Amino acid sequence: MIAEHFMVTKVVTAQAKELTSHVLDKMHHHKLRMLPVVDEENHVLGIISSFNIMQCIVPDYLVNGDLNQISYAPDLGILRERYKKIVDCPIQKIMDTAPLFVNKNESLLSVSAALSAYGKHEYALVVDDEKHLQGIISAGDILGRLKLKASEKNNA
Amino acid sequence: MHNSVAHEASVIFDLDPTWVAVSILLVVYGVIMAEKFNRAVLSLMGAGLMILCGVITQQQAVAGIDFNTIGLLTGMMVIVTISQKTGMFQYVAIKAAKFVKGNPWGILVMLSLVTAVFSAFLDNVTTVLLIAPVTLLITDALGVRPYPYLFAQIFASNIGGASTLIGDPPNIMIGSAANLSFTDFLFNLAPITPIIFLLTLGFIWLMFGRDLTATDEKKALIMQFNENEALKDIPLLKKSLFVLFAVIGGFSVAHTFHLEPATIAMFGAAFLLLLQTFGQSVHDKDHAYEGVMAEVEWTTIFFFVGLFIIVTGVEHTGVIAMLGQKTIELTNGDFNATVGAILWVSAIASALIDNIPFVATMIPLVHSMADTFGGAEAIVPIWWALALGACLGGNGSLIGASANLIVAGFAQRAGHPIYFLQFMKHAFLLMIMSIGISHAYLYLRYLS
Repeated sequence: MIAEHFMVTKVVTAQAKELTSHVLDKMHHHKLRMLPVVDEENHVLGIISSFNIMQCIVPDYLVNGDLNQISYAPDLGILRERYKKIVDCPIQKIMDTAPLFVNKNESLLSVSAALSAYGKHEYALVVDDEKHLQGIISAGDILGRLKLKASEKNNA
Repeated sequence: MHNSVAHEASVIFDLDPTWVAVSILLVVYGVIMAEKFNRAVLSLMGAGLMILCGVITQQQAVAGIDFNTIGLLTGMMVIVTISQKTGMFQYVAIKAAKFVKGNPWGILVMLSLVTAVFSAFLDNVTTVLLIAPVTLLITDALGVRPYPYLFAQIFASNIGGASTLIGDPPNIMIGSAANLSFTDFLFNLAPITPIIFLLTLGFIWLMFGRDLTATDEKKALIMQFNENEALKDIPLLKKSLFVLFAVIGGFSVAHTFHLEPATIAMFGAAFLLLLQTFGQSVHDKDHAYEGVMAEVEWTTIFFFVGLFIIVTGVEHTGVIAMLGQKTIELTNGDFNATVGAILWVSAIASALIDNIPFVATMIPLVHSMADTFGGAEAIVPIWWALALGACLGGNGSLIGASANLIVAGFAQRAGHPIYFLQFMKHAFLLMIMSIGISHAYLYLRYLS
């Protein structure tokens, strides 16, 4: 089985100049946690995820300063202040510009291995040689497909 | 680095060994300053070229590596790597902030004091790596600009580091090369550094003090920090403190027992590694050892190895001894003027270039002055001048010391960048003030 057979092709996308607040609304409306960011010609520029946005809200010094367990600190209101700033920024400032790309002819095994090795999130973008977006594959899609195959085998 | 092996290697194409060695040194130092390549790779390239070009043999290169400095640095890095996991640094920083009831100026003073004390006994980079993030968290909570706090911390780390043998890499190198003990540093440098620290704080108050205000509500937030939550591993904390104090005690008496500081540090490191994993399975122990070893700053260690070899190459050509004599000629053989020249040149140079390669080059130069001034004992004040100049000079600019760049990096990522000229505008004058005080101290104590 190849990627083309189990990728999702109806993809909700975002534009780089869209405000974070607008993208968050879009994610909430479509019950999605990640959107590919594309230009007018459907070339992939990156992805924006709820995890991305949260990472931008958390001050970097808390993550990279040997302080990632700050159970000693009360709620300082830092997150609320930074959230207010971030939601008014265009997503091009915070999007992940190095998403995982796969080809539509790659096998299920190849895509699964690439996702596992990637480790940052559970989505792979299916693109052609010119990085035109063709679809998305998530870890959930792969597991769903495996479950379907297993039940088909049992029924047979 | 100071062996007397005659120059036996033959330089390629019959080139002048002095020019080859000096060219390698200048190119390596120049590219290090440009910060385009990793400094450890550059120094190892330079070291390799010294041998490949025939300036020195491999045996001479290996003999030039100061394994006392390497061992002391590595041992202390292992001890600090394990200790920092306990949360003790964050505990002390929060406790200090709460001690002054969240008063913004009080917090600046306390965090600077904590930084200075930790920097005196641990390396400066580790200290600011641990204190700067807590500082940003506290200034965020207070709603004040972090720049004055980070500015003060840079000064505190370099002043604290100047106080002891183990506080700053230049001191480790000087102590090892000149056979000066932990207590020698303590008795000769620690009396002046607290005075410089207090005066520096006074000037920082004049520059920023009046702007540091916070509402009672914000101060109350500081009091809500729970420092006990910072202590993540109490048994490991006890073991770390035991070894840290034992090692510092060991440094104090090492000279009496003819032991080098590297032996104390490496033994302490090995002992703490053993204590850390006592009672664990072999697999867990191996995993823990590998984790600690992975966090040792091998880049710094290999940087030192390469530097020692480069300087050995230049030293073998006799050019450093010649420069030493030129310095003496410039000062007309006047000891006081030589001490002053070494102090000021070291300070200005260390503000502009990395003080580690500078001190590595200056050590053989100072050694070469011993005969003129009456032997190794007589030139001890020159070593103190070099130590004070190199350590305090690091305050002169943002690139003057590695710790400065670490703090600047955190400030940048926190959205409060420290600009090179903005920092230098305040820092260079303060650095000059600290060198002026050091000069007066050296004069009054050793030269008058």
